[in-house]
Amino acid sequence: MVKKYRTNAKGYLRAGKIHQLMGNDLKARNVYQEGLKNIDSNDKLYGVMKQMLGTVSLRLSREQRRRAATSDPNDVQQPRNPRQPRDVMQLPVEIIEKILRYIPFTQLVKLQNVSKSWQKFLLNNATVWSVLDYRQCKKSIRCSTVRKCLQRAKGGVVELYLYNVLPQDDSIIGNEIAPYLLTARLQVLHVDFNVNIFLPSKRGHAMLDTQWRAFRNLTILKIAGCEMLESKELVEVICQAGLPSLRVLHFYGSAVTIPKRFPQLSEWNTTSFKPTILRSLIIDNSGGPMMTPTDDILMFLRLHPELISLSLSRFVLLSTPSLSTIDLANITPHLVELSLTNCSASSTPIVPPTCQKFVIANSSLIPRTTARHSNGVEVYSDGLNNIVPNPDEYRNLRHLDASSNNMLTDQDFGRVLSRCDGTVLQRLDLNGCPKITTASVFQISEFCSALRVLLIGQNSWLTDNGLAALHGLCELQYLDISSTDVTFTGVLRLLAGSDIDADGKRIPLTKLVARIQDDVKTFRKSAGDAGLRLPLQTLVMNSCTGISLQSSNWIRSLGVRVEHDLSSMYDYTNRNRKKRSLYYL
Amino acid sequence: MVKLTSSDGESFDVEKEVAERSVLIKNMIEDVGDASTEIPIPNVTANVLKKVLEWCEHHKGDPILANEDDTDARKKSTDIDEWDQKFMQVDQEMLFEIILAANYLDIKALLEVGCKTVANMIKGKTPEEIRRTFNIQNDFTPEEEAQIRRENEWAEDR
Repeated sequence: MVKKYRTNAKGYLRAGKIHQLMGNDLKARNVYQEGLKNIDSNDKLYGVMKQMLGTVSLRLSREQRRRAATSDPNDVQQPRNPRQPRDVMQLPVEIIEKILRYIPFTQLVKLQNVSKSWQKFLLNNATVWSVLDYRQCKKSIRCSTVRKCLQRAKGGVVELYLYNVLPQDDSIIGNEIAPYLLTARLQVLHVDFNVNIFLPSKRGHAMLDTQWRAFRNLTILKIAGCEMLESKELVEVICQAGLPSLRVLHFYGSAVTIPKRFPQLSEWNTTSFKPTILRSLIIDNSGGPMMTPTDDILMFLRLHPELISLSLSRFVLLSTPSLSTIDLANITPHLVELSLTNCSASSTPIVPPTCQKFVIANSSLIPRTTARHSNGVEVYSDGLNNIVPNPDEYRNLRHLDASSNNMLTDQDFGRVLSRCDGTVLQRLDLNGCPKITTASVFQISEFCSALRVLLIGQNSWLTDNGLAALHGLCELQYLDISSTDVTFTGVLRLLAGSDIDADGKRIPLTKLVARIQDDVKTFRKSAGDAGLRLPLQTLVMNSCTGISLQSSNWIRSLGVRVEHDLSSMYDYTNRNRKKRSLYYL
Repeated sequence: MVKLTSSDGESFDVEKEVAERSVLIKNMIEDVGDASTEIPIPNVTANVLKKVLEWCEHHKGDPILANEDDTDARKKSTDIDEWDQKFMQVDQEMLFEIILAANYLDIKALLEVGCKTVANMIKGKTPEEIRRTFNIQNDFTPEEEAQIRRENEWAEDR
């Protein structure tokens, strides 16, 4: 074959491999060398052949060295004791690189102290410096240090977590660092406060439009300071799909307390805007609220139709005359997670039926509910009684978080539940919801057959009766009833079901306790399990003044993990010791 | 069945499926086109090959890692499954030999496990502890050592 087609790379490779297989490296090397001479260097197998030649030559030279060593009795090389550990640095470079990839950056740097060969390797190997993670650093980092590390990466930095940078380097940081970041290899970039590489400043160096093009493989961008959204340059780059690989965009925190304004896209020239493939958008605002006209955020979201997760906090969504509702079912049809904490709006956004997690904690929002129309037909409407389509939006909801939502009423909640699928809903967070009552708890126990996690702490309305109703939830694993007025009776009824016997008489607590213990015993006998395998695994009842520590210890003895911190309630339990001696077990 | 011969001349009869965990052997079988020929493994000695084949046997059903994204991204987890952990409880000489053999035979998953094992021997240790683990001579003068430490002071962890 080789003789017939002098330029066919495959033939050389095959012949070489056969020689190699027969253990004749020398012949193999000659074949490869000849092949490299004859075939076109553009051939895609050219590189492969070069590699093969490399390995064969390496092996040959090693062989020669070994022969030389064994033939020369005066050689200093001692036969090594196989028990003697070997230095990692004796392994091939690519294997050392693989090993060091598992070592956190800050430790890697310190490994220079091991020995000269380690130091040499670490300082000269670019992959060691390809992930620069300053998150764990105790001390502030000088800008020059960052630059040095970036230089050692030789333009190959892949992940950069720019934290703990000395504040006085603020104004020069753009000039010092930005030039080294302009690499197509960069995939992850986290930028801390006071690292203003994106903001124009007097001495600093803001990114130019053309420079952004270098970030064509950037997938995750996390920027401190939600006020950065006010940087027109940055927002334009995002909107123009100037970061074509970006999947996760995360803004967090804020250095200013004054209200901020969402970019006014509706007033910009938007002809160059392009849809992106962004999957996750988090704008975790703190400080001043983000004032956001509905049409601006709509324009922004329309550019990211692939979003799976959207999280906004401390947003004030201002309705404009023509627009009041944000219809995410149309804009982001794949949304799985929507979180609107600390937000306010005239109406709650419509979510697509794919949505599984919906968070409206601390917000003045309520889930969209149904309402009965004047003609008796049930229709779907938002808070303003505007009739809207899509009654299916909560069909796949697994997790509803409405904690500290002081708008949610029993009525709203009931309507939302009727829109959810009780066999799908697994988690409800209702900590500190002042407007709902025990009635909602009854609804939960009736409707949410698949519920695993329930948080209903910090609710003064929760009573023993309400708690007892939860006995019906046979999947419940985690229950939080912190800071409520429930008593041990309530917990016993939660575990035992009812404290009324067949004759309609109340069962004394001692008997109830005995019954539960018997149940546990029989359960242990039958299943050989160490504890009560009620589905309930965790019970959180911190600051529950109606329950003594002895009682919680007893619950623990059933095999339930109990959190019961009464440190602030010591006085109370002491005074009532006599009355509560009943629970002393 | 495939017949493999180690560098020191010992032969092993292995199921084709087991041997093909090694991309190198797989390609050789394909190239030769006849699985019955004897395949020499010139870089691996019998005791190491035996160990490697033991691993291949246990993992023969595993899906083959699709080119294992070779990004430089630092991998966080050094978790190793229980069987592999036990398997890797060998003296350090053997561990290195297994890694080299896995590299040569192109068995990505085994190479990965080996590298993780070594990484775990390094992770979280001081330079002095590492010197002891790998029997490394400290060839720095105290001054040089202090100098390096000063230069890298910023890398102290929280």
